[in-house]
Amino acid sequence: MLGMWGVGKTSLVQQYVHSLYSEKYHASLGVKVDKKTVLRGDGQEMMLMLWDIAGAEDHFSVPLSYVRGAAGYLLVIDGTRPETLDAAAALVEAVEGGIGSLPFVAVINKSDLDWKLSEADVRARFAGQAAAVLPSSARSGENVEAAFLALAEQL
Amino acid sequence: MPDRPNLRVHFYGVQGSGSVFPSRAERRAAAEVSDHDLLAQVFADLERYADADGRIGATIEEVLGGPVNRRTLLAYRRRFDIPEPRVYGGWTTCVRIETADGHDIVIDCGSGFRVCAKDIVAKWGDRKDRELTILGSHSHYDHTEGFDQAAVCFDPRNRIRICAERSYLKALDQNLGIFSHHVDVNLKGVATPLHYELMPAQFESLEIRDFARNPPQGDSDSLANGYHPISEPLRIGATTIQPFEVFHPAPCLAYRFEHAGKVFVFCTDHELRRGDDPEHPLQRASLEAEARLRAHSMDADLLYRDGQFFQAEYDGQIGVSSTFGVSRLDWGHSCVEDVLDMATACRVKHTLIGHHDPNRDWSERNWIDETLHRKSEQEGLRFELARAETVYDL
Repeated sequence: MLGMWGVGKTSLVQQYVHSLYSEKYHASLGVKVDKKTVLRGDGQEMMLMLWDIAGAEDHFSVPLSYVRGAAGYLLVIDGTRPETLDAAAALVEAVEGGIGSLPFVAVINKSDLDWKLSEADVRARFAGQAAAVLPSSARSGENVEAAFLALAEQL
Repeated sequence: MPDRPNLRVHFYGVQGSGSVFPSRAERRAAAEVSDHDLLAQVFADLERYADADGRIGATIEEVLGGPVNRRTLLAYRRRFDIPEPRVYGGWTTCVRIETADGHDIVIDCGSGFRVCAKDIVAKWGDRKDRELTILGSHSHYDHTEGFDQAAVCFDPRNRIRICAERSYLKALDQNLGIFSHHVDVNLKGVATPLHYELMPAQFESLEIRDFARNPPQGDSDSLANGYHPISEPLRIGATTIQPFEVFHPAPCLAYRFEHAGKVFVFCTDHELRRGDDPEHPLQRASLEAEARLRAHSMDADLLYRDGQFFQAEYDGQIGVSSTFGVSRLDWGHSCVEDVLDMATACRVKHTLIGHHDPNRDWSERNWIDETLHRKSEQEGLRFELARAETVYDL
């Protein structure tokens, strides 16, 4: 799970793994590991080890040691905060520069709120890079399963 | 803030295991952040001189307030407030407490003690009262290694009283003979060229001991010049210091300082064990120690606590700043997440998370600290990574 702080990475994992959502925001620290089995379209079961990594901060970003070894990632953007798109693009650049190209799915979270960026902006930003771009809401559950499944299909 | 704080706490070293300073690449990364902040402020300042088209209509002298020289350049620089690069860890553990009634108390003699001792020597000058109390946590090298490098140990006028659990006293004495006036011939000169004959300060030892479990057989022995029951506080002037045992592979003490209602709790090298078996003797001992720590930390003004690992690192799911993980069970250190839970439950006003893992990258330390800063705003309590060369007044 990669993205700027406060975009909803932990909420997406909580919704996906535990079907829980909390209105209260708790800043994550370091990394928390969770897991869930997913059934892919080809009938293959896959155990996803989900590393919920604390968000990129204003000055200091996610250390690549947390990403090294990952098979792919969910890139989370907060639709209500346009700056999180720039932060997401910087993370993709850092991963590609430091580790190499990894499959990722871009998730524009908080679709239950008024967005200040469009899905088209995100698609344009990650054209040719993201395996999929999906609007989602950790609160309502919209596209949460679909996002993780879309990533699993790439692994 | 009072003119003379009840307790002034100086952190000289908060690094675990070994002294660590940023690498060249890490220094460059920190400099880049500072450069960015400075340039952003400089260009914001230049906007004052911009016309409607955005063109700057001012001479350099007008911007600087005089001709270009060292004085005007530095004066211009001082207009902008740029945070200093943060030094997390640095030297190994050493903390000094100055009390409002003039006493100096040091906790642990890691490599930070060399720097600490220079400050004490400078403060004391030629004054007559030259007594220093050192409180030891435990015997490990990163808590004793700075002792024989400290200037305060080489002035015969200085009286240095070391209060600690027995193994800490032994760790200092076995190579230096400062209490027993004896060094085994097989150890002399091996770890250090120095020994008691070359260290003319007056050394005195006070063993902190659980009298109920291990009552002393006399008033002193070859290592301990005296004994103090762990159940009783030490009193230095108006400061009360309560030692208590925490959980670590070596016997380890934490300390609660109180002066005029202000409380500082120092707890290095303590593991809240995360084993699977709640009946395991080590698990029970760890939980009992954690309960003691919580009891002594309630409503504290300042807490320093070991938070060397994240839980995922402790569990071996990830390494420290590396992908390869190994279980840290029984390594003797706590998880950051547990420190935050404990500090929140105990309503500690300000928590410094220290004893940093030597393998944790500097950029990661900055990243964690930025997150802690935001977390503090959410919780209404202050959490941060402990930093070297910082001072807190209570």
